[in-house]
Formats: sequence, C-alpha cells, structure tokens
Amino acid sequence: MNSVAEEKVLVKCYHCDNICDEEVISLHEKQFCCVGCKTVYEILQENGLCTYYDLNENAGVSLKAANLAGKYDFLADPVIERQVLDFRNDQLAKVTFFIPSVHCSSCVWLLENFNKVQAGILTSRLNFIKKQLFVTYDPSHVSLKEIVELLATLGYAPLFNLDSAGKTQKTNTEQHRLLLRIGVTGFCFGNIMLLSFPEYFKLDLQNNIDAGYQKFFLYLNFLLALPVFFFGASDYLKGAWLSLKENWKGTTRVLSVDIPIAMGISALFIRSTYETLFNQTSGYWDSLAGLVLFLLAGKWLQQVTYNYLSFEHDYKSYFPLAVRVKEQGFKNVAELLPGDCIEIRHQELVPADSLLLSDRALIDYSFVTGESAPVELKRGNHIFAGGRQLGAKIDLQVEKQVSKSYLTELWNNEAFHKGKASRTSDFANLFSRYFTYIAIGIAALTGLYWHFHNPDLVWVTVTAVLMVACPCALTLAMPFAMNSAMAILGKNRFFVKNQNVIQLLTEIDTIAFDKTGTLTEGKSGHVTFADGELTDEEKMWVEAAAAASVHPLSRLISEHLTRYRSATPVGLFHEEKGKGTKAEVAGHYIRLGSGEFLGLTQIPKESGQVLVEIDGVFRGRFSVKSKFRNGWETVLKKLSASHILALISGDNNRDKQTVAPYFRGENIHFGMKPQDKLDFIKMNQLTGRKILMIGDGLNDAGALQQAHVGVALSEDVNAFSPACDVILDAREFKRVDEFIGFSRIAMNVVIAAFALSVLYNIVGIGLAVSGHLSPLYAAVFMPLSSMSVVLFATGSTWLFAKLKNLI
Amino acid sequence: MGVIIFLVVLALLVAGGFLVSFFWATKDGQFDDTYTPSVRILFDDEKEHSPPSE
Repeated sequence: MNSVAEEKVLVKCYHCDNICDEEVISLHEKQFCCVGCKTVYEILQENGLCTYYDLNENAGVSLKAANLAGKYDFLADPVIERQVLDFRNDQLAKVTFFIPSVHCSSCVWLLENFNKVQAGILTSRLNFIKKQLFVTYDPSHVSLKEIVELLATLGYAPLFNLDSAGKTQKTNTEQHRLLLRIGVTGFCFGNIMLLSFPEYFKLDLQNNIDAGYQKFFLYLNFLLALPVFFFGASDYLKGAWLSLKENWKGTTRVLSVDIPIAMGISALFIRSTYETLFNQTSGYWDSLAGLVLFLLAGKWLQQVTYNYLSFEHDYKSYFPLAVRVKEQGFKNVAELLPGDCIEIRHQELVPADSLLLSDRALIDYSFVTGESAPVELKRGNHIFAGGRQLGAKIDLQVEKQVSKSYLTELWNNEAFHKGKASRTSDFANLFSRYFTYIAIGIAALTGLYWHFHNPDLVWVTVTAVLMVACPCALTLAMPFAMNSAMAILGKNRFFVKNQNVIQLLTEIDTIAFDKTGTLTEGKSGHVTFADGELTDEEKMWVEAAAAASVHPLSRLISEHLTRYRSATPVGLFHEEKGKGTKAEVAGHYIRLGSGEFLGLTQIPKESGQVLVEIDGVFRGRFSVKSKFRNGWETVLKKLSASHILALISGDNNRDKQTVAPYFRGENIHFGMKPQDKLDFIKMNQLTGRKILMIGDGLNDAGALQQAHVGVALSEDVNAFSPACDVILDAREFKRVDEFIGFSRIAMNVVIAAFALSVLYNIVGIGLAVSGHLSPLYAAVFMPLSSMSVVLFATGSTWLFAKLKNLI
Repeated sequence: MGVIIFLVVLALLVAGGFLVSFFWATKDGQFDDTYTPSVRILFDDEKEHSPPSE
C-alpha cells in the first residue's frame, strides 16, 4: 500500500479500494477514504476478521454516501418486525435479507462469519447467486434493527421494500420434483439397459439355463419400468388427460403436445407389458425408459432461467416497507388508510396519493412519469404516489390506500393478470394440432390394411406406429436449441426470461421505444454553453435566476451550474410561461429565454436552447440536449428497415427534432402517462401488430407488460427492473437488432431440426407399418434419432452464433 | 445360476441406496444453491488472532 499521502491520486482506501480524493484518514498505517470505511476496518480488526482483505483485492464496499441515521427505525416497531421475520419465538428468530451489494468471495466469508461480529447471532448463511442472507439469532440478545444497522455499517445494507413483508419463502418444490423424476428414471434406465444386453447380443436362449435368466431379467425389467411409467412420465400422462378433457368440454380446440407423447409412452408400456406377460419375449422397456429420460432432460433445460435476475417486479419492489405515521410510530405502507398523517423526508418516496399539509414541497415524478423536471407544490395540493420529495421534511395526509393510488392502479390493469405464458407461439400450436391427427390416422390405416391381409399383424403394427410416432425428437429440438440461444444471448447481456420469449421475439413487427433512459442516457439533459463565456461570478447570478424558475430547462441549467449555487437573493423575478425569465440578482439584470423573448430574432431558433442576457448584453446560449446512447442512430436505422418504429415518451417534446427522422410522424408521442403508454400498445395490438417495447422505468411498466415482448433496459442488471420478458444491459443497446436477428436464426434452427426429426419419423413409421420394428431396432433407432436431433439443434445454434460474432 | 441372480439383486440394492441418498440430497436442498459452496470450500480454517495483514 502506498504511504505517501502527498501523492493524493495514488492513495487508495484500504477498505474499498477507491482512490481517496478528498480526505485521507489514517489508522494502523492504513489509509481510508472516509469514516465509514475506517469504521468497518476497526470492527473487522477487533473481531480478528481481517482475512476479509486477504481474499480479494477490492472486497470492501464504499461507504461514502451512507447515512444511516434513523433509516432503519421502522424495524424497531414490533408489527413491522414480525412482518419481516420468517419465524420468531422467545429464543430464536429467523430472517432472510436481500443484500444487493454482495459481489465477491470476501462478502461470502464475512457474512458467513457474521456471528463473530455480533453476539446473539447463531448462524448466517449466504446464497451468493440470489444475494440472500439467512440469519438466525437470539432475539433476547440482539434486535433486528441492530443486526440490520450493523450490516449496513459494514456496507451490506439489506434492502427492504413493500415486497419484503409477509412474503412466504418460495420453495423449490417444482424443481425438486423434476430432479427426483430424472433421478428415478435415470436409475431405472441404466439398469434396464444393462439387463437388456443379453437380448441385444442374441444369446442362446434355447439353452435351459440361459432361458431361465432371460425370464428373470424380463420380469425385473418390467418391475423397473413401473416407476418410469407411473412416476417419471406422470406429468405427460396427466397433461394429456387434462388436454383431452378440455377438448371434450370444448373450452379449447388446441391439442397439447403432451397428447402424442402420452400416446407413444402408453403404447410402449402396454405393448411391452403384453410382450412380457403373455409372450415372455422382451418388450421395449429400454426404449421406454430412454425416451422418458430424454424428455425429462429436455424439460429440465426448459426451466433453466437466470435465477439471479428477477423478471417479476411490480411497484411493491420500489415502494418503502414502512412509513412514519404521526403519533403512531411506523406503519406498513400497505396498511395505510385514508386520513393517516405521514412524514416524508428528503429523497423518500410518497407511498400513497395524499394531500400536502406542509407549506411547500418539491416533488420529482420522474420515477412515475419519465418527466424530468420536479414539480413545486403548495399546501393543499394533491401529491400522487411515486413522487420523490426533494428538500425538507413534509407532512402529508393520505387520501387513498396504496393499492388504489393513481400509480398502482396501473397494476390492476388486466395486462398484469392474464400472464404471458398463455400466448404460446402459433408455430407450436399448429404443430401439435396436426401431429396427433396424422399419427392416429396412419395407425388406423395400418391397422385396416393388415386387418385384410394378415390379421395377426394388426396389434403389432398399430402399437409400433404409435410408439415410433411419438414426437420425442421433435419436443427435444425446441428446448435444446432455445436453451443454447438463451445462453448465447445471455453472454451478450441480453437476458430473456424463458425460452418462450425467444419464439415471441421472432414474431414482432413493431418496436416501441421509451425516450428518457432508453434512447438517452440517464435522466438529465446534457447542457453546453456556446457563443460566449461567463465568469464564475456571472455563472452564480445565472444559476440563481434559473433556480427561481420552474421551467424544465431552467432546472437543468441550475443543475448544470450546481457548483456555483449561492444564497444570492433574487429580486424583481418575473417569468413568462414557456418563453423566459427575468430577474435581478446582486444588482444585475438577468434575462434567460428564447430569442423571441429577448428580442434577439437574428439567432436561429433551436429547441432546447436558452439565451442568456446580462445587463442588456447577449452573453451566449445554453443548449440543452439529451445525451443519446452510443450508436442509437445506427440501431434505429437498421431496425426501421424491417420494423415499424414508435416513440412513446413521458417527457416533454424538446428532443422532437432530434428523433423525428427515425419515426413516422404519427408514431411519435410525448407527454405520455404510464396508462397512455399501455393504451398505445393496446391500440396497436388491436390492429394485429406484435409489439416489442423497450423501456427502463416504472413508468413503462404497463407498456412492457402489455407488449408482445417487453424489454427492460438497465444500467445494472442486478438492480430492479420493472416486470418484463427481457432484461438488456444498457451497454448493449446498440446491438438490439442483432439479438432480434439471432432469435430468428434460432427459430429457423428449430424448424430445420423439426424437419430432420420428421424424416426420422417417416423412416421409423415405415419400419413400423411393415411390421419390422423389433425391440432391438427400436432400442437403437429411437435414442439415435433423439440424440442426433439434439446434437443438430445445439450444434447449429452455436455455429450460427459464432458466424454472427455473438460468441 | 443363483450366483448371478443374487449379484444382480445385490447390485440393484446398492444402486437403490444411492438413489435414496439422491432423494435425501434433493429434499435437503443441496441442489438449490450450486454456487456458494464452491466459494465456501476455499476458505481456510480460522487462524487464532491472526495479526492484521497487509
């Protein structure tokens, strides 16, 4: 570690590894950038936990911005505490924290040694991928609030939001069941294979002793196949039964793909049972077990998702868990009632539609609407839920319950209830509808033919056709190709929720963009000053004049000149709405506004420009432009070749001219509220369009949900994104066209694999129809066809990814 | 003849034992988090009062 304090740039904080740029605090010959980091070091040092620093270079989390005072007071409230805890009695309490800042092995080490830092903690266990910490502690020794404050002091602040209360621990029973099925089927498959080997090599069964073995193996195989059929394949059988029932009742006319699968499996089972019990010849047990194992493996791949990402957030993830209620302590936000008086501090979110009781409030609605300028409100004004207070503490009276607020009403929209899983792709539907009928048709024709020519063969051939016609290879092609595609897209930081989304992606024809945070970077505009220069003192005056104005451009200028903020009083302030501002600052006459307002008509008109005049002299102009993402023009140009593009922004229209060339006039909309965005998508869907929505904020949540595919753009994929189908890392925005193109390729691979497996089916059915499908043929042919289709699907997906430079 | 039948049954029972342990492992949640244990195993046992190291 560098000890030369003079070389400021080189001093790195021992704890967080950031460069100490402001002050350097030394302790034990080590340098720290802030008091927070030093405190963590002291705590760790006292408890002999400095291994933390040996494990990783940059283990510590910077604590510069941390301000904990009063932040976790709500956890001391017994009611709130009970809602957060998973379990509690007098001696033992269990709690699960979500800790977003977990990032390296040192974190695992420290958090799992947490019981050494704080007496009263019994165990602590971390799930690194899900960033969850499971803590058990003794509530008579230490309180929840103390634990959380200590975690926060160490830089591992747990996240609490409205979602953390009353949440039942999600169990992985569904995944466990599938794993058990695979285990059992695999076990049976291996043993059946082994016991079938003598049969494959046609050992001399006329020999008395060998014939005895053969019988023994046969019945053992039968016993081993029972769990395969009744346990391993039960989901397919049940699924087929349900689908049949629904079709019978007439609620749906779509035959599920489970039906042909169940038909094949049942045919294999019944035929083999018959062979075993009545003919004492080997059945198709090995084929049955192999088939079910393959199918289950495909199913397992299908449910693989990025379990460190969450695609299901609603407003609850953004809202605080508890809020201060006057004279009552803390209250769960979900339990707020109209009439409650609440306190909101600087940077806190207003949780419910309320009436302002304080004199003045400055509310930033960008979170809800996308509109970048904060709104100034006076006593008696209404504040919508989702606004963020800037400045002093304010008092509010709740008017509506949280779930009935203006913002949360959006989540009561039907788009959030129907779920996208039901929108299966046309392709899969078409396929399963015809496949079942064709298979049954061929089986019936075969039966009919042999009935007249050689009645002995009817039973043999019909069952053989049904066995072979099982669309095993077909059903495997999809999950394997899609799983590869998912992995490839994930490598490129385009994270799709599940395999179905890739199919949906291939169907879209329209793309709707949000502007703020999607086409542009971040929230604020990019301010530049041109045609002149201002001294520091003049900048101070301009800032003061701009700060007094409520116009969005003035706000941005004031923000831009933060460094020159002073308490200079503003006199003779006058604002003409939408035109400009004049003010007297420190004896100088400042005018800010459009050329028209200042009477400077010779300066060309441009949107987002503010001219500056000091004491009657034109001094230059600020030009406020949104900073667009790298490569946004190219990607829009490429996408517009094959898609209709639309822009739906909640912001004002100052960037209209910049974006206009890429969108058709009727497809550019500014000032859209969250509900308007949702309605826009809905209206377009009514005309039969399939829309992809790309947005970033909660204000896009409705549109993302309503759209055919919703893509949430995120600067940090681990942070919260609104509910969506795809999370896209903002750095990869310029490659959206490639990702959509690749989904098409993946779909084409699936279609090719389908064609291949249909070819196999034709060969197989040929064998079956002619009565030549012996158990040995089946045992070789069926796995071989499945395997080759799987290899083809996986291999060509990766190959195309390589060709497209995606890996 | 009896020997082979005996061995086959025995082999099935042994393999069955592993199947049961797989059931137990799954129910116990050992497949729920497949990443963190790989980090955890790398940590050394606690050194008593290790001096603060550079």
